[in-house]
Amino acid sequence: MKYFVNEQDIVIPGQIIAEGENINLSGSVYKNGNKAIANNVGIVQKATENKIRVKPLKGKYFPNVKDIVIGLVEETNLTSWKVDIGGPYPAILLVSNATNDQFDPINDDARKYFDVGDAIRAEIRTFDRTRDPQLSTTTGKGLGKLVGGRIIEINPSLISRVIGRNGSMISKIKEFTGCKIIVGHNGRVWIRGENVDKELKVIEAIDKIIQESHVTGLTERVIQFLKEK
Amino acid sequence: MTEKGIVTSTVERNYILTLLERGKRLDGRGLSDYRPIKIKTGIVEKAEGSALVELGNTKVVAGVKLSIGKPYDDYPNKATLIVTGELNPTASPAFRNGPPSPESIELTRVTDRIIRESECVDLEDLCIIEGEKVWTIFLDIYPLDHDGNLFDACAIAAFAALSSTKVPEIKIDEMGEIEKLDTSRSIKLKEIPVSITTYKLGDFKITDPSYKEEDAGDARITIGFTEDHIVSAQKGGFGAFKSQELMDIFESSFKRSKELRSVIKSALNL
Amino acid sequence: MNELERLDGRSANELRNLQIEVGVLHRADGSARVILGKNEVIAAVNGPRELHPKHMALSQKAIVQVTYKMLPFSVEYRKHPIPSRREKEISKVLSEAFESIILTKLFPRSTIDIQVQMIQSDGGSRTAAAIATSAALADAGIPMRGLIGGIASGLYQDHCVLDLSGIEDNEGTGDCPILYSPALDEVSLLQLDGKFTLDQFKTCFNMSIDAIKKIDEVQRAALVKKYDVIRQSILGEEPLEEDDEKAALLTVNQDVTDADVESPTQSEEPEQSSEDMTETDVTVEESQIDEVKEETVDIPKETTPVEEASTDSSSESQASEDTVVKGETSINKESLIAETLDKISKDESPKPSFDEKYNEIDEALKEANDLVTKINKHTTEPEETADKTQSSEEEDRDQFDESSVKSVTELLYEKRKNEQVKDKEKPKSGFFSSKMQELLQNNKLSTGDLNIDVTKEESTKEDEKKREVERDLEYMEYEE
Repeated sequence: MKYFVNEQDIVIPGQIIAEGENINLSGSVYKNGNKAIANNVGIVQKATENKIRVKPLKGKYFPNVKDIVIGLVEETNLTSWKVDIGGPYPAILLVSNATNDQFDPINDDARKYFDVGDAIRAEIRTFDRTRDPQLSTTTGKGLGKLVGGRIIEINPSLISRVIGRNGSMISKIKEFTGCKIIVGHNGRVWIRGENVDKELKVIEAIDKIIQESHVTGLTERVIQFLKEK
Repeated sequence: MTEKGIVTSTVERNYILTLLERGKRLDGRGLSDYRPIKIKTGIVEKAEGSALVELGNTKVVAGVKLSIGKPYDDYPNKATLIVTGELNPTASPAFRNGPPSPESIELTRVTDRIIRESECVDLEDLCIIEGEKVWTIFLDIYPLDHDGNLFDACAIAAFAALSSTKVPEIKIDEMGEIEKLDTSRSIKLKEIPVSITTYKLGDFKITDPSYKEEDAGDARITIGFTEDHIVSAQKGGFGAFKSQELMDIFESSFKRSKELRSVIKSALNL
Repeated sequence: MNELERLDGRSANELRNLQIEVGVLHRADGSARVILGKNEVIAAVNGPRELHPKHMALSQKAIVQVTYKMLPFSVEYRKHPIPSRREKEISKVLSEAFESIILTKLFPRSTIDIQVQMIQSDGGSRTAAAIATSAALADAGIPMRGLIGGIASGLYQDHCVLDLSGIEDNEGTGDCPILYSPALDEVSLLQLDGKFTLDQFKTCFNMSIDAIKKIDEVQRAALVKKYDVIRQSILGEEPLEEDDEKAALLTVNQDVTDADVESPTQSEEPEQSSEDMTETDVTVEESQIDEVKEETVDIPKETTPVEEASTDSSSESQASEDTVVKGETSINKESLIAETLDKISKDESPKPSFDEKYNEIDEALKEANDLVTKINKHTTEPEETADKTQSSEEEDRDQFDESSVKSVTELLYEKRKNEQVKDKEKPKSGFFSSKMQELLQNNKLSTGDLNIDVTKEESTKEDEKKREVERDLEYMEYEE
């Protein structure tokens, strides 16, 4: 077992990360023989001696079952909606997964639930690479149409930074601004506050986090920033 | 320029409107503020004239190629000008390759009109033999990155490329053969045309929109000005303007065009 | 033989000025600008994304579409904007070259679109385009086996020279652009025109390979330069592995001093609470749906529909909302977030399994005996790593098993998984391989000299049969 990279190194596709038996891989890595090779621009994280993870630094959102995403309704059909969730595939939301009401496509209009342009928060119900992801808004609380507020998009691989360790960051922002914030797995962040200024404050804070989080004491500085505002 | 296939979320639109009510834009600008303009000319060595224009994140590259051709019958002593352009996926994921879309045709034709009608280039100066040989100016405009307001950016790029054009000196021998010499001269400019695009969003009017604002917008008007004249105008978008609104826009745009002209002037050292 | 005199005073194996910059465009998913001598090219990558028209989509992998375009003012004489046959050919060979390194199997039914625009062209433009494409793909975060670099070499004044400029190309007697991946030692494009002796070809080829290794370094540097900023932003972040997270969660739970902490038991019983949820959902009247949904949401991302306190009706909305908000700053939230973070890491977990397979396959060709063991290893491996924190998912799976539809899907999925491993996959070399084979035969070269993998035709009968069965199954499933 031999490593060719250090922890926190940036790796480039094709770069050999480790060689040897029993390498435990996760993230953007593939195996060729006994070599572990990066398949994306990523950062090396080593959990234990035999565990390597390459966290990709960029890339489109790739759907996973049970992800909570913020989607944008692009099309309404008789009994379904086509929803843009930012990944390679458009998601489908069937009326039967959107409401528990009796829905009769002849008399009822799907648009009274969601219309084109609506932002929705939904759970990915099924997705298995052979067909497009199916969404659901009935499988949990807090799923459905997002009204008001605004949505910003960030790189999906940076959302953990915005949330902070065990949610410390996001809860601080919420605490100081009183805004409601939802971070979707697909990198979309919905923010709604009492007024526009508070929402802007959140957006600025998120920008700050993304841009300068390499300096230590980020949480303190973000708190300071929020206080000043 | 709304992009087909991209749906603006109502959340986004409402948010833009709320911001506008407070006199703010998505990027913190005021309603009639322009983004910073950067102009670089002479970027393509092989073209007689070229320019890269940045308007905030919007980037447009324009190039001029000259060749010797025949004049039109009705203007035997004028050079010919052909303006083309394309919107392809470099600029936006919503643009597709293939035959020109109506959007790209409109964009190119509006740009063509402002350049042509402003008579910014002295076309008679580019006549070689009256009725027989004139310079043909091919002006090609390619947006590289679409973050809104392609109309104004393309007009600036088109003019900047023209302004940087070097016309080869020529020698006509006794046989009437034309020979290009190694030396060249600058193109003669008569005017500095300026395009001002205003978007209507609800009851608000904004200039230099970003693509998000364009997608959320209702109606658009692009007006081309020279120093003292209106030389072109194009209304677009699905909404409409009230007649009084339009008058106001023309007046304010005219004032605005003077500011923008001085910016372009100083950027191009004219 | 005369002494070589190049127009710009370079030596025979000297590259022109090469500059690479990534992330130059704002709208594209990934972009790069490359300057090679007088060549200037911008590549924009969009995707993977939905493919239009849909019938072109492939159910087993993404398609790669490179569009190579020369701007009308990029050359001496104005080039008409309509794509020429030359542009179309280059687009095709570039598409094929990049398809061989992109892990297209990860994104079935989608497309990866690459627009390459020559702003100025001056000899060797297709290789400059390839350098830009490769960097832009990496910038877009598209998984690939390695980077590709490219350079042309050829004959000028009877000498083998590297990186011919436009004039040298016109005056020269041979031109041979090559795309090569140093990391993989794979040639993904080779074109040749002119008259080369075998020795000349060998010299040119080796010269190009050496140059591409240098180009590779420039590409890396360009990517690292951009991503170092982002790296810095993640630097403080500790790797969140499943075990770590659980441990961290425990300590955090002990630390929590907030008065409004909910009992942790709730999060341990996702099934129960989700049942509650559905019940409350049913009671919500249709007219209230929007409003209720509007106000409920506050937790960034729960992975299980667990612990948002009930917001039953819109009339109570304000009061209930408050309690909801408070309730959320609880242990459960922490656990949820941890779970979410886990999800983020999990979102990559399907990838390695496929990648592994992808490469396993290469290997399997050589070592057929190892195949079976490896399949077993890799179909089980990703699940093992993912399982630990996904107990809740397992529970859900149990639920699904009750319905017959699901179990069929599961079966299908398993089946497909296995099949994908068996499905023998080789990097494509279509056009190139046939040409090379010809070349090899004519010149009696050995494949070893060139490091070229001549593709073997795989028997597909078995695969076809499997697919038929699968299709039937799928059909049945739809009928159900």
